[in-house]
Amino acid sequence: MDYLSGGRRSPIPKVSTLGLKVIFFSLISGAMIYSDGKSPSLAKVRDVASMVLYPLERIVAFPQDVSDLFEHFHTRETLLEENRELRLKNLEMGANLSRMQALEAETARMRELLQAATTLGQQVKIVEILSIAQDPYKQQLVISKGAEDGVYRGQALVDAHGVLGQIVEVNPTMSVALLITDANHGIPVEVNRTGLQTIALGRGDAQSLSLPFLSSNADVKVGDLIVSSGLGGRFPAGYPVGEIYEIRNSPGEHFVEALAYPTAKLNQGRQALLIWGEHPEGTGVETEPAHAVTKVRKP
Amino acid sequence: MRRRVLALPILLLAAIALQLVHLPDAIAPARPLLVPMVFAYWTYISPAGPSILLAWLVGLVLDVLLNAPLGEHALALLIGIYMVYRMRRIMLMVSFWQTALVLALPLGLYTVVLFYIDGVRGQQADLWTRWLPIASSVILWPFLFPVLSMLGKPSRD
Repeated sequence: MDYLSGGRRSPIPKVSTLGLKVIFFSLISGAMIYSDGKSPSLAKVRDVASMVLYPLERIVAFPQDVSDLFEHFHTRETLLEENRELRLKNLEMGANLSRMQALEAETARMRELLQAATTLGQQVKIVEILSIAQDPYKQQLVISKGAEDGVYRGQALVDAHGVLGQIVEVNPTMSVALLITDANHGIPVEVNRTGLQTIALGRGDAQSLSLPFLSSNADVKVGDLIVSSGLGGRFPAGYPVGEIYEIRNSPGEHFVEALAYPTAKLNQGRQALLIWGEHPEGTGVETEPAHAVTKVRKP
Repeated sequence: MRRRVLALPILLLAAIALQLVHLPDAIAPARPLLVPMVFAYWTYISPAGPSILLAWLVGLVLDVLLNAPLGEHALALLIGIYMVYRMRRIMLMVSFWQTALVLALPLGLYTVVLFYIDGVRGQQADLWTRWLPIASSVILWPFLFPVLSMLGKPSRD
């Protein structure tokens, strides 16, 4: 009985308090990882934490804001030059626009004839991109609008050149969007030239998309534009998604795979457009109550 | 002691902020693991080890900021700290330059835990780029040493 009080080795293995603490908190972390995305109270914790940490994100984005500010100090000549160029461009665009309006009207008439459900001219809103792809393995970006502005999960995000991605997480004042190049992202598309329906998956390398399992005689060519097909109800139809740059035909396989570059400028620009489309019932798209959308319609 | 109390929040905040700063695409995958390094140094210098509760909370902050599943970085950080704690005697024995190489092991474990959780959750990752942060951290460690020594010098039990 001497060995418990004496300097000899105790029969109970010695575990340090640090080790105990590590085990305790590791178990909690494990439980949290397991229930992440399932438990609503954990989502609330994340909401509150991201609200608290929002100033930090703004501070980190500050150098970018400062460099934006410097661009405002242009010389008079460059401004005049720019002004003239913009006037010319405006004229050109105006001409294009009037043609577009005619085409849109014509399309609308034809759609009416076809009794198609989709409409052109969705409601959009410009959002600021706060940060892009902080983690090289997840192609995500954070935007400055959240649930308070009527943003909902699954909402499509586009820029001037094409589809960027969709909203995967909505916090009160900001949201996280998954880019179309993320390895977990898929978007229903059609080849613009032929109308071939397929799905474009992200390849996880931040710069290309994959159209797998095309039948070996499918009519796709390098340079074909792929546009969103609107099937599934999540993305509006007709927005450019990518341009095919390679067709992989491995001998002995039944399928060919086409690779495409996204048309949207994924790593450039500080603004993007959120689209409030109409979402058909039963597509699994989570919708915000109607007042949220009417709220943003106000000027 | 007073200086140390002030240095810790500053170093931790700086490490977290540098984790978020936008880097050019070419070097972004090699972003050093600054937050684990701060905790590794803390474990290295103090015989009682760092505050596990604080490490856990900082891990959760990283999870929120990097949009990772809540608990992922927290778990990896705790496991990494525990390994440094167990290897503390080795780190005290070897020379200052060699501690960088010893540090590669716990940082590797940290990365493996993140990699494993991402893998279980179906998040694919390029294996090669996963190891770049460990290399950059080991290279950065000797240069970071003077900054981290604001926290104090290593004490032998």
